Amino acid sequence: MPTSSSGARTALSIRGIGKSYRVAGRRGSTLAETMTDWVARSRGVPPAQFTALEDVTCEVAQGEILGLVGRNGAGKSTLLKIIAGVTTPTTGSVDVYGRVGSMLEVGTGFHPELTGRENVFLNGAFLGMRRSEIRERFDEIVEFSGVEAFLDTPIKRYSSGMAVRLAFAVAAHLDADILLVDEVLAVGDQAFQEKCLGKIREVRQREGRTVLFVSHNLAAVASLCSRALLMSGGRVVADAPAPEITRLYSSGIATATTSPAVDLTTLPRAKQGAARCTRIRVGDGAIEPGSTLQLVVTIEASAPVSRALLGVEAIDEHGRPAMGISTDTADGWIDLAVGERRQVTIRLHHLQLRPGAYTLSLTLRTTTEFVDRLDAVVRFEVTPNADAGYNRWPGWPAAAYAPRFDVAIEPA
Amino acid sequence: MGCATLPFPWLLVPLPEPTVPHTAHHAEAEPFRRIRSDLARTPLDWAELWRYRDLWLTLALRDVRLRYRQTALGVAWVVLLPLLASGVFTLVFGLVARLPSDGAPYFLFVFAGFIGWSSFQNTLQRCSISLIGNTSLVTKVYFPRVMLPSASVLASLLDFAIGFTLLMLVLLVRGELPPLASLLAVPVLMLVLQVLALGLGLFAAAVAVRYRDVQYVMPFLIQLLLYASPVAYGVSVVPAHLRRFYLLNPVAPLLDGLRAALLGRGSVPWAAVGGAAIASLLILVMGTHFFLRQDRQYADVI
Repeated sequence: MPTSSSGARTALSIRGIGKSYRVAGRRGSTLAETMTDWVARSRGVPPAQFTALEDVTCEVAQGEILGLVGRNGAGKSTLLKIIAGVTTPTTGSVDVYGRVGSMLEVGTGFHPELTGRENVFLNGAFLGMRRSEIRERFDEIVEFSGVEAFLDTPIKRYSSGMAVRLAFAVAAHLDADILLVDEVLAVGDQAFQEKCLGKIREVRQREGRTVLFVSHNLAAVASLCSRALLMSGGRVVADAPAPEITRLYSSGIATATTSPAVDLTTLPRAKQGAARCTRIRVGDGAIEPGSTLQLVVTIEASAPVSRALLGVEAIDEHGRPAMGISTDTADGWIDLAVGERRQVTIRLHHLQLRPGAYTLSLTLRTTTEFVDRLDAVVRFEVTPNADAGYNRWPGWPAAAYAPRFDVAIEPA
Repeated sequence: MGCATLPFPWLLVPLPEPTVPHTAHHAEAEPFRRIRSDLARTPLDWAELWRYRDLWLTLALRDVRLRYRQTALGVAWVVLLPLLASGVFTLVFGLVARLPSDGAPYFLFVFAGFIGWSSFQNTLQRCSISLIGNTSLVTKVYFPRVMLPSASVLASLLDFAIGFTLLMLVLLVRGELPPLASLLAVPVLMLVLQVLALGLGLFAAAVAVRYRDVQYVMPFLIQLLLYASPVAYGVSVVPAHLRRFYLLNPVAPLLDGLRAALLGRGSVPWAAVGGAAIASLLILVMGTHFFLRQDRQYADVI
């Protein structure tokens, strides 16, 4: 039995894993396309390659909660898919010590036409569970998910939140030794997210299961994981305690301070929506507590978009959301025809942020779906100024948001 | 790490080391699974297939449950479809073309052939789309992929069982129930028929992942095979000098034998059935091999 340096048993031993895809002749190709591909290759044109993952080596101890942090396209999901056995690596090998349960996407393995009850069994079966094992835990699963009333309703009639809850409940209660969790916390309400985090923690603590956890929620990574990997461009760029990784990610990965404008077209995206944010410009000159911060975002549509709204969140160095706005609350709805461009100018009045570094995340969405989502697109620094209300005690109080306030102290 | 740098302190419950080491799958020194980049094909891991046996059942039951969900007539379709098809064939081949039926009423003659044929056709068709019809599973969850096509068999067998019961009831009423010895051949012939369908289906499923053309070619080929097999007519109408070639189609002796066994008329052509069985087994072995050779690419190509 291999053990890691700390003496704990190994759960995963990842050695030199790499994955590249041929770009030409991909998805849904027909025979004709393959033939032209052959012709191209016989003339010495090499097939285009895309490297999703390169030389990833890592040991994960049993009972460890390992966080994976990085931008979209950094290779986190590909790594999880390889460990799950869904896709095969092009180089390297992974030794897996235990049964792997994966939540690579919410409700994977759920069939929309089947009822909640039937889906619990189906999902369990995908994890290699016996029906009797699932039956044993069925009540526990249902109780955790809180969808008792809809057990005999087809999943297609569930809200996305309900489906996530059931999916998570199944995965968390099934007998997997290694649980792969990919961005499940992006959906579901706050209360359920906390319940999930609590469950992951409990599972690890009581049963010593190993968890690989991908999330853009840096606060969750920092609080849940003992150790994290920072990934970029398919490589592991840092392997360190989680708080250090989240600090690195929120400071190092984002583009440098207030460059006049940042091109967003080249950033990797999880999906190609009808429109995308192509450029952002942050402020002109110094950004100080109490000043006005101006953000200019350019949006370009490849398909018609109606009534979209732009959300901007500022994340502090510790990965905590510090501030957020959504244009619709100021009646800022965005309508775009094909090929049309819009420049959205947001002026944040009287910035109530403590001095420090922040990164911005952008979300372009309609009322029903996400159109474009970008994390840590730009980094800006709020510099200290003479306003003692914000910076008399650096780093304390710990919160980023520092409201203006009055205080009255009188004899009681 | 200092307290001041901790985000969301209320989420931070101290993590003591696990008290009970989880040893269920770790007692052995060998890894539970080894993922490698240097394999040309996925090995056929019988132990793993056995571990996943409940998935096979669950998938098969899912197929059965889903088939007629949200239809007005529901399960009645299982009975209605072969009745309708047999009706049409009887009209065209029995009443208009007046082909012989070895003494049985033409409708029953066709029906007995059709339930066998439809079990073959259903397995083949469902197998061929089993991967491309479950794209999200193939790209997101791990399980032995062979489970998807092979699970199609159960639904086909269930349909056959219903058709079989119906046929036996009718024969019982008519007082023409075949002897037990004759019925004993039915499971053997059905087994070979399903082995053949699954073998061909594995090829089709693997090819369909890369070439969606399969979706369009399959129905045409199946139609062609239907007319090249004794379903709507009996083998006796095939000219004697062509019969040797006719029986090269492994489906032909199987359906001919199945009809003979079901109706208790005529005899099962065991020599030709034996040949078909060997061919079917070979096709299954090759189909499985082919399917596993492509296995490593499914998630990337689909």
